[in-house]
Amino acid sequence: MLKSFSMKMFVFALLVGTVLSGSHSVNAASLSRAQQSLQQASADKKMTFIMFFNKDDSTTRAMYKSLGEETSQIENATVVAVNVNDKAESELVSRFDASRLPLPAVVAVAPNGAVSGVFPRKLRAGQIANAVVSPIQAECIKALQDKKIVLLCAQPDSGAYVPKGVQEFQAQPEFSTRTHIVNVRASDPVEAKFLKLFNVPNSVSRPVTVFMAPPGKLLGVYKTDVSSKTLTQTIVAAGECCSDPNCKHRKKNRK
Amino acid sequence: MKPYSLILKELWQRPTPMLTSLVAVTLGVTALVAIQNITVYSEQKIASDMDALGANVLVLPPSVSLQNYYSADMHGKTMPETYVTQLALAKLPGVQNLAPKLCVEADVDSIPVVLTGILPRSEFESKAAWQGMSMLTNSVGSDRGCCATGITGGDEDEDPASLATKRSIKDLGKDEVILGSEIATQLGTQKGDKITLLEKEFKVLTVLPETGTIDDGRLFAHLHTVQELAGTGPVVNVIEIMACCEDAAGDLIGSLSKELPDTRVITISQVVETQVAVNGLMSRLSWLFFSILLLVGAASIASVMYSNVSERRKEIGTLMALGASPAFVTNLFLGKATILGFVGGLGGFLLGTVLAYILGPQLLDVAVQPMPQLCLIGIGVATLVAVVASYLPARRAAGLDPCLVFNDA
Repeated sequence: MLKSFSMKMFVFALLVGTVLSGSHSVNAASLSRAQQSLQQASADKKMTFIMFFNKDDSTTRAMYKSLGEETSQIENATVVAVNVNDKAESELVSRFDASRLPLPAVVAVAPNGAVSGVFPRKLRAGQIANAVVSPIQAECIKALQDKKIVLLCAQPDSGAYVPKGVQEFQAQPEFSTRTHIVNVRASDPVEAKFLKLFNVPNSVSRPVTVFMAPPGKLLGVYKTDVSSKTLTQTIVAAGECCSDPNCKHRKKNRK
Repeated sequence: MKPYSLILKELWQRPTPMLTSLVAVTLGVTALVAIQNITVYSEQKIASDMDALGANVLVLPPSVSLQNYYSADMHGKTMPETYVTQLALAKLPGVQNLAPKLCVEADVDSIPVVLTGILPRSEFESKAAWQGMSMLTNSVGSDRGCCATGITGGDEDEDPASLATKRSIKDLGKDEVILGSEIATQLGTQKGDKITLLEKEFKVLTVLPETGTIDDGRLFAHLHTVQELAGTGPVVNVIEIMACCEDAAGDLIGSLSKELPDTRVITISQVVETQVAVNGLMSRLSWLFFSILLLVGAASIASVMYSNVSERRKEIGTLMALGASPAFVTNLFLGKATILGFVGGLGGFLLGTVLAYILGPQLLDVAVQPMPQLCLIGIGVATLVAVVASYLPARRAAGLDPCLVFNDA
């Protein structure tokens, strides 16, 4: 009975999706159904879970059902089903390279557009909940996905400042456009889970700097004021300095 | 007269019987040296080839049988590219890097070429960056087991020529192509030039150094570009997997088969195991030949020495009548045996090394160098066998009574 109901719901969702995307194809300038959902979720500060599929089979139905169950326990979550063969959604399919994903697959998208998880074929318990990211975490992920160097400064409740070394690092011409500084209060309960990843205590007396490089390398956590020289040496050693073969840091490193 | 002069005189005056024994000893050592030499260098070549390959696990379509590692993508069968993404997202322990490939035929200026689609690591990294904060580990593998850290960057890693040795590349543009050394020479093309492939213009990113493999005759472009131009859709011929250590690779095979049940997963060790088995057989056979030929040599030496003692009874009796002690007589025979063993061992080593030097490149494509340790083994064992085989005849000679010898005469 339940299975039959969930199947009907799934077919209904697909039909609605197809009809909506069909109506959008009339107006080429407008966004597709899924894109609209993403845009709306972003405006509402909601997580979006896009389920890409290519055929209506038992695996797809089971995944859709699991996704519905998991997201029902999460506040501020939107679910969108997208058929990768739907021409109206080709832009979205291309953006997430969904035609090359093992399908069905769920892609978790934060309100700022950061992708916080990809789950192919089958959802395991807790995966969807773990893909829900805090605002600062989403900001860091987005910056890394945009190939930027991230310097996360976990600040004390009073006397917050961006360490001089961090400022000097960002001021260097090689890094100025590629560096993204993010400030967060170390005691912020919303960010506690995120900061715990780096063992940042929730009570700090001076800023703790977390140094990350794209696509997702943790280069260091500095609990005292870090110098620009240390940051530069660290990123050069990690091979993430810059793509310019004539970069002075790379040349120096080669010697 | 000194014993040394007596021995040399004896060898000089009656060379034929001794030569027969010498040939048997020499052939035994020759067989050992030649086969061991080729085997050792063949094993070294296999080990260095495996290091150079980088990838040590191959994922192939199920119906493919693999004859040659370097042509693992030349079978014409395909499998979905989604398998690559599936492996990248699975973050299996032991996986350090993935290198999917798709081969298509094309031509440049009417010259037929093999165009191979490859996926740069940046593609996996961008997929890994979709994994939320779990991306702060290896791009494609897991932080479990021996792959504690991912592939580090560095200038060498970013060099496109690293494709020749590491089988993967960090970045490759959609309109860039990398040329093998042989095809670059054939086309008269160098870095920075433009060539047209499947009606698309490509810029030559680099020319790879010579590898001595069929990769020298290939062109490499971005996998997705090749798929698009050849109209194959998102498929690949093979996925090469660089596993970060043997332990992980051992467990990895099971994990890979479970993750991709519709594929054939094989390790490079499986590919080369036939050659390794042949090497092992050759090594064992060399010791067998060595033992048999040395036994023949020992029997021959013993026989020659016994007949020598019988023939030289008068001379031995005369020596002893003139005051030669039994130990002196024993040393004469053992000295002769020592010289025979030494010369046989040295001759066998030289002959075996020359044979290996000639046959190694011809039979197994292996360049061979002399192995001094085999010289010591050959000379040592040959001398020991010759001395042991001569011991009883020497004792018999030393036990002769001069009076009886002259009475017999």
